[in-house]
Amino acid sequence: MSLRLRLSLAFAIGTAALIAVSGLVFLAQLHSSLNSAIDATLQARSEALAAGLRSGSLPRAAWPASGQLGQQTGQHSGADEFAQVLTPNGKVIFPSWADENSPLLPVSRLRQAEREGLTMTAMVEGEQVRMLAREVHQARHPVIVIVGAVTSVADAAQARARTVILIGGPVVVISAGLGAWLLTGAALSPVHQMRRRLEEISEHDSSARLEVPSTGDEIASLAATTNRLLDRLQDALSRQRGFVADAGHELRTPLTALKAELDLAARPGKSRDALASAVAAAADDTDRLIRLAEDLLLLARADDGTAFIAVERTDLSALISASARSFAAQAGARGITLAVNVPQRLTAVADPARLRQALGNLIENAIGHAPAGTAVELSSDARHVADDGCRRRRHGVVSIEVRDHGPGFPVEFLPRAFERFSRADPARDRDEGGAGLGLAIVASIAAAHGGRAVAGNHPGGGACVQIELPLGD
Amino acid sequence: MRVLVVEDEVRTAALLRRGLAEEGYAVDVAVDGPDGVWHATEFSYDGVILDVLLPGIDGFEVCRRLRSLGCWAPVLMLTARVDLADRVRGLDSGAHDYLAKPFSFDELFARLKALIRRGAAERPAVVQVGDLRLDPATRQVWRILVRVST
Repeated sequence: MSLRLRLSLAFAIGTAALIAVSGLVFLAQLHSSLNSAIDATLQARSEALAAGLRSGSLPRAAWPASGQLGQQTGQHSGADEFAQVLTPNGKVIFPSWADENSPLLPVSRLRQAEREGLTMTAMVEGEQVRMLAREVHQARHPVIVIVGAVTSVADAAQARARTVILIGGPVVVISAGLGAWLLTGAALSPVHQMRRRLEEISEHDSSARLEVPSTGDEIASLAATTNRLLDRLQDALSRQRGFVADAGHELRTPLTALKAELDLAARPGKSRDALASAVAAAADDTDRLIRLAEDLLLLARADDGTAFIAVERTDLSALISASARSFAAQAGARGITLAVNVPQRLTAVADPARLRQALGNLIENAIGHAPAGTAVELSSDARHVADDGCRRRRHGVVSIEVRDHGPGFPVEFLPRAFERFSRADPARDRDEGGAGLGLAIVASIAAAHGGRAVAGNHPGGGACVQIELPLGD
Repeated sequence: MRVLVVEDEVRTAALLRRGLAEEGYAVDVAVDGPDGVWHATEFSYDGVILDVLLPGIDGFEVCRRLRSLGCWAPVLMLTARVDLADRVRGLDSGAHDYLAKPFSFDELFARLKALIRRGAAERPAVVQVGDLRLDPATRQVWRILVRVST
C-alpha cells in the first residue's frame, strides 16, 4: 500500500473517529439538557399542584394548558401535559385524561415515589412521556401527585441532530480523505521525481547528481544528503578501480619477467649454466609474485572488515627482540647493526604474527635505506595520553618505533607514505622487489588493532616510523 | 639491426636486451623517457621498443616528442596497461604497434621484424604544411596554433 494511500486512509479514519465521538457527546449533552428543561417544568408544576392540594384548592395554573381537570379526552395529541393524583394504593383521585380509573404508575412505583420521589421516562399509550411523582400530604392523608409531559418535541430535535450527524459525517470523512489524498500527492511529487532521477543514474554515469531544490525543506536536505552519499560511493569506487589497476600492473611486472625468462630459456642452444641461472631467476620472480599475492590478499581482507587479526596478550619486548634477531643476518650483510632499546615485560593485546609482519616490513625498509656502518634503532615505550582532550579519560598507548640513519623520507612522499603502491623512489624500490605495499600493510595492521602508523623524519636525521597500539589495559 | 629499448624496470630491460641480442639485434637500453628521447634522436635505430609507464614522462609523450623532433623510427609500445583506451591512445600518439605485458618473445620478434621491414618513413600523426597543422586522428586543424575547426 502506498504511503499516499495509507496517509489518506489514516486521515479519513481519524476524522471519522473524531466525528463519531464528538457526535455522541453532542447527542448525549442534547438529551440531558432537554430532559433537565422538561424536569424543571415538571418540578414547578408539581410544586404548584402540591401547594394547591395542601391548601385544599387547586390553582388553575397547576393544570395543563387545556385547563379543566378531567375534561381531557383520549386524543391528547394537542395536550402534551397531564397530571394525576392517586392514593398510595393506586386509586386515582384526579384523572388527567381518558381512562380515569387507570393509574399512570403501577403500585410498586407509587411506593417508590412515596419514599423518595421519582422522575422517569416511560411509554404511555404509545407516546414517550416524562413523569415526576412525589408524595403530598392532603389533610393528613398521603397522596401521590404525578405530573407529566409528552417529550415528542425534544425527541424530534434529537432525531434531527442524529440525522444531520449520520448524513453529514460521512460527507466530511470522504472530503477529509480526498483532501489528504491531494495534499500528500502534492507533498510526495518531489520524492517521486527524485526516485525517477535516481533510477536513471547508472553505475557508468557516476558523476550524475540529484538536483537540490532551493526550497531549503526536507526534500532539499534529502537530495543534498543523497548527493553526498553518491560522492562517497564514487570516491570509494574510483579508489577501488585505482587499486585494481595498480594491482594489475604490479602483478604483470613480475609475470612479464617470469614469462620472458622462461621464453628465453626455452629457446634452443642454451648451456647448462644458462638454464640453471634462468631457473634461479624464475624462482626469484615466483617468490616476488607469491609475496605480492599475499600482500594483496592481506589488504583485501583488511578492507573486507572481517577479523583478520587474532589478538592475545603479547610480550612486545620479546616480539621486538625476536624480529631484530631474524633480520640480523640481512642487516649484517649490508654492514648495518640493529639496536634494540625496549623496556622489559612490555605487553599489549595484539596479534603477534601480524605485528611481526608489520615490524618486519619496517625493519626491511630501514635496512634498505640505511647507509653501511649505521644502526637501525628499534625502540618501544608505553604512555598514557588524554583521550580527545578530556583529562579524566586517558588510555594507554604503546608505540613501537623503527628509525634509520639514512636520507629519510622525501618530504613530498610523507602525505602518501601509507597509500598503496606509493613509492618514495619508484625506480629503486621496485628493483628490490617492493610494490609499494609495505607501509600500506603496516597501516592496515595498526588500524586493525585500533591503533595507527605514523611516518616522519627524525630531527636528528633518518626515517622514523611508529606503530601505535592501544595498551589494552 | 639496431633497436632501442626504453624500459624503467631493470629486470625486464635486461631480459629484453638478452633476448634481442640472442636474436641478433644490437640493443641499447634507456631507463626513462628523457633518456629514451635523447638516445632515439642522437642515434639511428631500426626500431624502438617503448614502455608506457615510465618515470618522468610516459611512453605516449615520448612517442609524440620523437615524432615532433622528426624521428620516424618504428615504435612498438610495450606495456602492462591493456585498456582499449590506452591501446588507441598509444597508436594515436604515433606508435606503429602495441604489445601487452606479459608478452611472448616469439610474438615480439615477429612484430619487430614486420615493423623493421616496413622501415622508418615519415608518417606523422600530425600533418604540417606551412603554418597549417592537421591531426587526422582527432580531426582537428590548427593555423599558427589556433584551432580553426574540429
